[in-house]
Amino acid sequence: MNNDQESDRRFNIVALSFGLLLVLLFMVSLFSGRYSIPPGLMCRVLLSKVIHIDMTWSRTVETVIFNIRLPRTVLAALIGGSLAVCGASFQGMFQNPLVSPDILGVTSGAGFGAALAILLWNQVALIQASAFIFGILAVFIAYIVSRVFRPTPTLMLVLSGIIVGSIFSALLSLIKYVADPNQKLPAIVFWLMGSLAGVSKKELVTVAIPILVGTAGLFLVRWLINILSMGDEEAHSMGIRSGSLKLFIIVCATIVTASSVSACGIIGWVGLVVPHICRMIIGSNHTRLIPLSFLGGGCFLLGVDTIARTVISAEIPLGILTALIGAPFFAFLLRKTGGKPG
Amino acid sequence: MSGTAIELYETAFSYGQKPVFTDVSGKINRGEVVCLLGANGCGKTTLMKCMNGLLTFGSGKAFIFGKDLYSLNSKDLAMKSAFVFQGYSQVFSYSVTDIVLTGRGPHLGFFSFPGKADKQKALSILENMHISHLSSRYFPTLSGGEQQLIMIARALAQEPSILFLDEPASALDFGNQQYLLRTIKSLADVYGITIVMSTHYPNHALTVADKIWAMKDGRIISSGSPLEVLTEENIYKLYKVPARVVEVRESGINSFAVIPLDDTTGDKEDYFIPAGKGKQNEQCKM
Repeated sequence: MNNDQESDRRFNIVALSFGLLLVLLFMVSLFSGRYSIPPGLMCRVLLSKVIHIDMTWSRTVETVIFNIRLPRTVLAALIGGSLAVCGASFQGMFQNPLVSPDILGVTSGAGFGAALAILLWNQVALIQASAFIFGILAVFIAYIVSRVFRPTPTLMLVLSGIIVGSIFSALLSLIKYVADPNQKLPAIVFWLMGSLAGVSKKELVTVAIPILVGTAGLFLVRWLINILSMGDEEAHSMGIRSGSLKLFIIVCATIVTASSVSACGIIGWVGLVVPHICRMIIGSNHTRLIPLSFLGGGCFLLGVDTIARTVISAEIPLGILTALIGAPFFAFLLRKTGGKPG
Repeated sequence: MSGTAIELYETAFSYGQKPVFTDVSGKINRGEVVCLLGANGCGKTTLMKCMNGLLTFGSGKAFIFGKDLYSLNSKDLAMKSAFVFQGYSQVFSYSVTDIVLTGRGPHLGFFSFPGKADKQKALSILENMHISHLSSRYFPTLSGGEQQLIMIARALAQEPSILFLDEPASALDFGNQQYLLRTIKSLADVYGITIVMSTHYPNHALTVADKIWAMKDGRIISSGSPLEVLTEENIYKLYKVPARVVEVRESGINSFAVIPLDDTTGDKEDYFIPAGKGKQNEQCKM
């Protein structure tokens, strides 16, 4: 009993410090950027939405804060956190710590969808819609293909995810090949490397709501993921219908991943590595792992995005930075802890 | 606590065209310990998985406490019967408490979480099994015997009336085997749990079983009390090993044991001879 309370206490401390770090990074991210806004002014502008304060600032300041910086900061934290939650859920469900949210081909599908839309129309709304639809479509096909073979669905899911993923990667290459190399091709390549530069107030609704819904779904079944991670047969013997639970997790994670890819392109590494880092800190129990992954993923992507838009005058693509920062940090942690929890 | 726990009528199961067992019928009473004996691949595990609803009988009828097995959904079934698997692949390392808590699964809804009462239940099971000192350890750091006990504790957290155990003693040392058998016996005697277990050790069956089902090539060739089933003739049928059943009297208690005899009739070519060695000998002769 004592030790159990001890690990609860440990989780509370870790979660609290991750939460504080997230708030801190949120502030830093809001204050930093090319259009400099002093912290005092920033606070007054933010508060003016809640209580009445005389407007002593220009409209530009308000536009920068509410239409650009705040949405971007909120989305960075939300997308990072929810991708990490998807990663943790999939790793548990597939009983494999090397799985990331794109195992079922969602990012390949979304990448193809976005590239196709860039090639045909090149309008932001259509690119997002196309990426979202093709991301969902890829996972749907992978799921249907895996259902054809009854006996070992988990392995079949992984294999059909690989099959569908590689088909969409090939189609993506085809589009790159035929795209105009002066305008369209760079747009496609840059999009694929991931960036939050394009997000505005509108995405807070179109992207954040589906992400929140999917993440909430995963939060609700996080204890059951413990049972699922022990294998189908054991889950069955404990009265859990693993088929419907798996489908629920896949649907939630796919909504989250497809939405986030449609908003900011492909951001790898968060969903793979953040759950690992969190597992090293508080162990594998998904009841704790998933909330902590949400906070950790939020911190990670918020930090990386702030670096991406402040270090040099141009934007650095997120996909590059997540790996460049995440990989060495992960290697350091592995060496330090030996990969063991606690 | 009387009545029948499990009834089977002419049940059969096959993987595709290959039959695993056929025409298996039998009754298991409440609180009884039934041991399934038989050589590797004779269908013991498959039969137990069918009885627990993990696999579906190909034909025949099965009843659990008088109810048709297939009228129960998986949740109801998991509250009536639990399964302790042989070997477990743990990819993630959970603490012992977390693992035992997963046994509360059938008692909780789709979106719910184990509460204080569930946690208390898990801990009291560990206490009753005298292993509460393991509660905060991580599962992979435990010894094989301790891991097996934790898996039993998890099954008990389901609060089952029937407990299936697949080769529960196979990975344990001599002392832990006896400890496990005593635990199983007291689960039946004290808590009235019906136990169905498969085992490779006829001696274990003699120690704990009320009834033995002896299986060969997918059929029950003999069932009844341990001494009725474990005759020298049946042991030879099951394992192709000549043996004697001996009786040891100590402090007024009779214990029985199966002792394998040196095989003088068997064909020596059946035994393992390293290929390299055999050849060398031939060369020496030449």
